[in-house]
Amino acid sequence: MSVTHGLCLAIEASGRPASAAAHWAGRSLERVLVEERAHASDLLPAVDELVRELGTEPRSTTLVVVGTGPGSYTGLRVAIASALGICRAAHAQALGIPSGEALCWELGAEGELLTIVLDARSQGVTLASYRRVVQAGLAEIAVVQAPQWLPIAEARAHVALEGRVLVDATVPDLCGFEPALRARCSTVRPPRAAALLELGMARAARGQHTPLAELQPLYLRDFVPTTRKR
Amino acid sequence: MRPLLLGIESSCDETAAAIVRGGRDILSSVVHSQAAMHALYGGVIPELAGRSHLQKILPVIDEALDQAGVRPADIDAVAVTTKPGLIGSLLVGVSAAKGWAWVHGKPLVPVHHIEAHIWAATMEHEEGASAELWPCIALVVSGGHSSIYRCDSPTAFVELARTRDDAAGEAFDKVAHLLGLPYPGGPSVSRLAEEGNPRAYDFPRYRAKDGGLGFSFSGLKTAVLYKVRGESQGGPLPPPEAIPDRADLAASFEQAVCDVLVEQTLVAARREGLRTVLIAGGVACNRRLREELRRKAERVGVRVLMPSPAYCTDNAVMVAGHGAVLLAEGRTAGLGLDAL
Repeated sequence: MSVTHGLCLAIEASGRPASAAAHWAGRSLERVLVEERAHASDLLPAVDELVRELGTEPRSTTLVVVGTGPGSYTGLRVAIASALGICRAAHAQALGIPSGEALCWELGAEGELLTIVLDARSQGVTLASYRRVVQAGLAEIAVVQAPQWLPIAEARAHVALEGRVLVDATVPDLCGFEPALRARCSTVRPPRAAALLELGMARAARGQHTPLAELQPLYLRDFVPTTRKR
Repeated sequence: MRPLLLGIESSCDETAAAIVRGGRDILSSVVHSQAAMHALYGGVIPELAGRSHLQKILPVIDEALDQAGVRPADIDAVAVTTKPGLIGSLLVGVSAAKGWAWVHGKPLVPVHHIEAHIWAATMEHEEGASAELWPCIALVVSGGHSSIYRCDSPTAFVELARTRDDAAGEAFDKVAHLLGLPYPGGPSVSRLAEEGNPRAYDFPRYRAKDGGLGFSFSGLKTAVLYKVRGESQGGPLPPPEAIPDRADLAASFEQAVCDVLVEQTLVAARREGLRTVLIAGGVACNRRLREELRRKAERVGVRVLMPSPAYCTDNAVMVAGHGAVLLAEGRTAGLGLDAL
């Protein structure tokens, strides 16, 4: 039996607001969390509500799709650690998907190129480009440019020459986007768990999954701690 | 009823899980320590700690269940450390615990890390099970805490004293750095101290001017710094091999820390009129501290209970153990449980 025939969950917490979605017996439901409240306190209660509304129980879970970012490490770790606990307890499969792919699934028209630029703070941005395509008769997200961290000064040169650009509100100013580029920009928001769930279920039905030991946030930049010197 | 608890601990640099029955019987204890990773940087790096917890949380839970030979269905509740600690680390343990407990339909028990350390001091002793143990005094000493509590019961604690600056373990780390010794400083300073004379240097022992209880280790640390630098006070630290009497410095520093901890603890016991002292936390592994406290407490008729070294440092046995006590009082949490 396919992994998607059981209870499928999705958790997306790369930004605010976070959201959760669930699918069971042909019905899908989604909850968007209150933006100001903590992911850690609200995510699992939201998932629990969805599961109860769908008339099933947690141990029916067969798949947990989780957004891997880029985004807030705290939110991503809450989402991924929750997914790990659920998957282990329910013997469910996990599938980690970069959050930008879910956003493209939700917002991109077929064939359209979407570039997503997020403010990564510390004088940097994260940038990725995707195109929604049809492969072998199935809708998919093609990765044109995998997520990468860039210094602000280099970001403009990496934005694709076509398509829409979804950016954090601060990014065009930070990166000095010229008017023609600004005209292609619109403000980004976090992807919705409903889109993540749909994309994840489509991929899981084709046999994709992420081993639990490999489920982690997208770490786009090496973390180099300061060493205390004598 | 002797409930079977899964305990999960991830408040700092150890990812741990344990299975404990009835708050005292240890069926398994698994600890993944990040100490070697943080040693490269001379202290705990919170971001690296969070990354490591996420990688290790499931393996330690799996191993704890395997070692104990129990099935998830046998577990009565999941106890997890919710405070205090590094928030990014706590959240990994809390979130994984919530997900696991939700699927299995088990109650969640939020556990205070310090209270769990105190409970650990009672777990391995026959008299620890007796209600007559309480009230008592607890000294909690680690890299993040140095406090004395009055414990009226296993779940009712009042802080009587705390450090005004560094925790004792933090002072060990800093002095280890001054002496060119590796992190974590407690074990490395103690090893070197065994070769030294604890009376070679008369380092300052903190006493509050108002006669109140409390600790301070920053003055002691500065005194060691002055000795290490010798006459070149403004210059860089000398290389370790150029520090004369390094073992004597380590031993004298360790003695000064122990003297203050022991004296203040026994003063607290006397003032509160209590005859039992518990000692807990990573610094409670320190051999000199254990010996001095036992010896001086015995002299004034005070009984001391301490955990074996494996349960002094962060572990999940203490979390599962104290969780059982809280569970018996009905102190469970819903799915909205958060780290603080």
